Amino acid sequence: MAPVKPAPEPTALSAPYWAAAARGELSAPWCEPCADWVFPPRPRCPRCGGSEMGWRAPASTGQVVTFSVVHQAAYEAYRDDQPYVVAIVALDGGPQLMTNLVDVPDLGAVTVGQRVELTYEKRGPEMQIPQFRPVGRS
Amino acid sequence: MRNDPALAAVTEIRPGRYPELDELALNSAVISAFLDQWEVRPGDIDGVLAAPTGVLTDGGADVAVHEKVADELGIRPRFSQTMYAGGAGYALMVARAAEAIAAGRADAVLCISAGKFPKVGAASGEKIAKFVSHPEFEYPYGTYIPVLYALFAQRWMAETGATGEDLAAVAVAQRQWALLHPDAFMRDKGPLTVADVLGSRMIASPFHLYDCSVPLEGGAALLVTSGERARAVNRRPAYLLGYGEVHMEGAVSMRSTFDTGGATEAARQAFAMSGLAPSEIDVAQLYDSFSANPLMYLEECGLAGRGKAPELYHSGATAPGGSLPVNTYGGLMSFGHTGDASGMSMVVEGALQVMGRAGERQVPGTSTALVHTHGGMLSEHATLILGDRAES
Ligand SMILES: [Zn+2]
Repeated sequence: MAPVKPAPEPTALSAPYWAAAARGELSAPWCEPCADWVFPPRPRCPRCGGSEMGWRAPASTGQVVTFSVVHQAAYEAYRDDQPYVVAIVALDGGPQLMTNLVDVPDLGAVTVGQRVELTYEKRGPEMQIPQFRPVGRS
Repeated sequence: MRNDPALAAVTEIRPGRYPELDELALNSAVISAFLDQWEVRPGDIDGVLAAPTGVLTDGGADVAVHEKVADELGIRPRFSQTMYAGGAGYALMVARAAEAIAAGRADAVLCISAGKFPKVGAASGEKIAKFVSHPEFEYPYGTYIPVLYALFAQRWMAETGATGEDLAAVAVAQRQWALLHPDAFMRDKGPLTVADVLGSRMIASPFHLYDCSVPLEGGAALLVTSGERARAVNRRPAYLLGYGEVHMEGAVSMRSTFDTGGATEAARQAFAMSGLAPSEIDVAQLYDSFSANPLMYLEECGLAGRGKAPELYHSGATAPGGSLPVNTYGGLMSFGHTGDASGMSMVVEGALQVMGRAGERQVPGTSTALVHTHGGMLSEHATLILGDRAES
């Protein structure tokens, strides 16, 4: 059997993020006093040091900050996917996260600043990871 | 600095493949080569800074390497530890040793490291990917080292208009230098052209195979002493005129910008301490995991204007005979990338050029060198400025 791509291993801090992802929702920690994201999840807000995190839904659209088209897969589990795109996406209104760009019709046309929207990929029997695709590819 | 700290002696073993030696045995080989090359007795050494072994390879990390080095030398140091900051760790060792010497806490500090890459297979790809990535928010997206570096290169290229030809020119110039270095691993491969680089297979855009460093094994030692002690060992030591460091986010996806590698602040500190201006630098040794790094660092260190670094390569300025030679030993792409010890190589070469001991590749009239090193995924940064005269 071919090796499978890794599923995230949630921690107490990140469990709400992955539980939301499994439901097909995006949810990230938010520091109310600072009115800003704390992502990836951490025990303390890096600005005020507070530990009380609310959870909010970020926008499901954003733009590509940077990317790489991967022609030589990281390891065996990604061999069937190559070439695949790894990107940093800034969600509209924040935060920023790493993702793959999926459903890309022309890998040569991926650009910095490209608009993308949220989708999901199944990992393991119960999990999903957020992924992004060019807008208008539904 | 008080006591004029200097690199008195440097030794690097030939990069290659040493299947019969583990990293501790490679450290021993480095010590033997160092003692063979220089008029230094173990009892002259009163400080040891070593790097952990086994960070990337199997068997777990040994974080008490300084004890083993001291025991092998048969010395009882008054300044000693094992420290780690990836490829930036060795310029940082020089800075820490210099501080100890300036404070009178040590007279002669041996900085040492040996490195290997893990054997292919046995889930080593997964292991390294997890080590260099955020385990939850990056690792599940198929990351590995070239991809994470590519994210910086791609953004810098988008901002400055740099092209694949510009990246390739770095690999080409460095191969020219490697042809002059008897220990450079790629010397036997002969010259490289831009077409060769662009024609090699794509790994992770914008990096082709020949935009990547060559994974090998090896190691090096640096002896940092007071100026007075250095002059007893070496008629022309390389004085430490300035250094700087900065530590960026460890997880690439947390970086607030991708259009710089992070060298700017470290280089600014080093120049301010040295009192030198970028125009006074004779040679530069810039850590090159991938071809984009030296281009970005030339700009971040103030040796080229924003977006102007590629011109230095196309004009021949960085190549043998040029006005601003860069990576005069061939760099990690043509000399070889000795695992976790790779950050030693550009410190060694910067010192050798200032000492006038670089053999066929010696840049005539070199009196200053800038060395910039990074560790992790461009997270740790350390800059050294070396000179042939102690500060006044
Ligand atoms: Zn806060």
